[in-house]
Amino acid sequence: MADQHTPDERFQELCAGYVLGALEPGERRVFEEMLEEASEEDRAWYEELKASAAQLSYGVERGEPSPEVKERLMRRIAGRAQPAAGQGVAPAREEDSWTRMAVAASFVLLVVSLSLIFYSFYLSSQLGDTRQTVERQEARIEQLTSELEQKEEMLAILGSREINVIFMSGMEVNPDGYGKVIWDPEQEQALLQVSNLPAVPEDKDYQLWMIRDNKPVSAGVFSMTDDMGNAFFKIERLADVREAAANAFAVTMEPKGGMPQPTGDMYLMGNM
Amino acid sequence: MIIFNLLMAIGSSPEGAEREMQLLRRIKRRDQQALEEFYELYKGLLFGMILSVVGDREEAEDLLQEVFLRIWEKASSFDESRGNVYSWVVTLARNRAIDRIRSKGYKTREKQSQVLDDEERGPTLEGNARDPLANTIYADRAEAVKKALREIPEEQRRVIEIAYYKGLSQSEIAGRLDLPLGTVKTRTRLGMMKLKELLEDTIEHHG
Repeated sequence: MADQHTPDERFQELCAGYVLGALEPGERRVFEEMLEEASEEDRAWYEELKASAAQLSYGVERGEPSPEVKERLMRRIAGRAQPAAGQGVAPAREEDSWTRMAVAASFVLLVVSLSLIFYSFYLSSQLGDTRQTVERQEARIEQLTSELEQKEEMLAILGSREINVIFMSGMEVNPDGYGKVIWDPEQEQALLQVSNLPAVPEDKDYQLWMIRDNKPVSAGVFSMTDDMGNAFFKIERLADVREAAANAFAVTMEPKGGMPQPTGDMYLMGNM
Repeated sequence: MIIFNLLMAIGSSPEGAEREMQLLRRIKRRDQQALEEFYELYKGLLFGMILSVVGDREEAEDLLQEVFLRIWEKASSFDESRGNVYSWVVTLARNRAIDRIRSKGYKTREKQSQVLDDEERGPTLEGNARDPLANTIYADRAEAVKKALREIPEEQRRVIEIAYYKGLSQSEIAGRLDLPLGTVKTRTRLGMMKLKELLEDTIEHHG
């Protein structure tokens, strides 16, 4: 094959040096340019010469490197393999950090949530307290308004042109009790004031009677609690007695809601 | 049978070449075990070659490691259609060694006594006992090349050996042997043509 074609000496010479890697850099470039424009035959010759040179490697004296070389090599490869694997590891680390961040965030969120829940409980209880306070105040206002109205009514009654006042004294069952009926015949209204009356049981009420011609007529029921030392009641039902002359007023304890006629003990009694 | 033995002798037996290729494919897949096997297969040859060029054992070991790291890194760029694994690895190692001596310490090297002795350069066959096949292949390859070199005239063989095994340029060889550069060039050319002729059959098979 090679016998059939032989390049010119210049080509042969540079080619021989080139395949052995023995050319100076300048000559090497010259040969590479030469090779680019070489004929098929010259190229084939070059390839054969190159293969021959490669065979020389078999003739090299073999050596025995120290075992440390292999150890270092394998260590470095393991080290280099890590970054490659690290592309799998790095996101994992990122994942770890994300997980850690997520856990941390969850924890923070939990703490914040719990804080908010406790705070809302606190606010709610505060609100409840406030609401109770408001309710108490409202009740108080209502009570005061009611008392004020009562007092205004009482004052209105007292301010009437003509009023009758009937004093009542305690009877045997409760000698310390006393009371008054302030009666406005024009307006058909009356105020009852009682003091030192015992509290009535759950199933009882006090009942006010207007006694006319020795016949008691109910003027309404009221109840007393322990803390009511001195109480005022407005009496609306006096129309029946407007024309008739009342002889006396009395207070008895009757079953809850009152009775048509007195049945219980008499607590107060006063004559006109 | 003769052809088979010949193929065996030049190392292009199906077993040898296929084994090298399989190892390289595994290296491409980042198989560290494959690189270890590859190292065991080639360490003696490559270390011998590098050592012959750089002339310093420590530096040769350093380069040997670099070469295998490069094989590890560059295995994926190896084009199977363009050549056999052996040539690629040997060329890589040799170029690396030559780059090293030419990049530094040339003057130091020039003072070194570079005695080439056929017996010294001869392949040592021990050291790869764990891989008898590799030993057989390389021993046969080495024997074929040694036989060819023995048939080349001494003055031609000498410049070829210095160029290839010592990595010296033709100018350096001329200086070393105290010869005109033209003479070195001529001897190289004639010696290489003879080598090509002697190895022609094996080259044809080896591709």
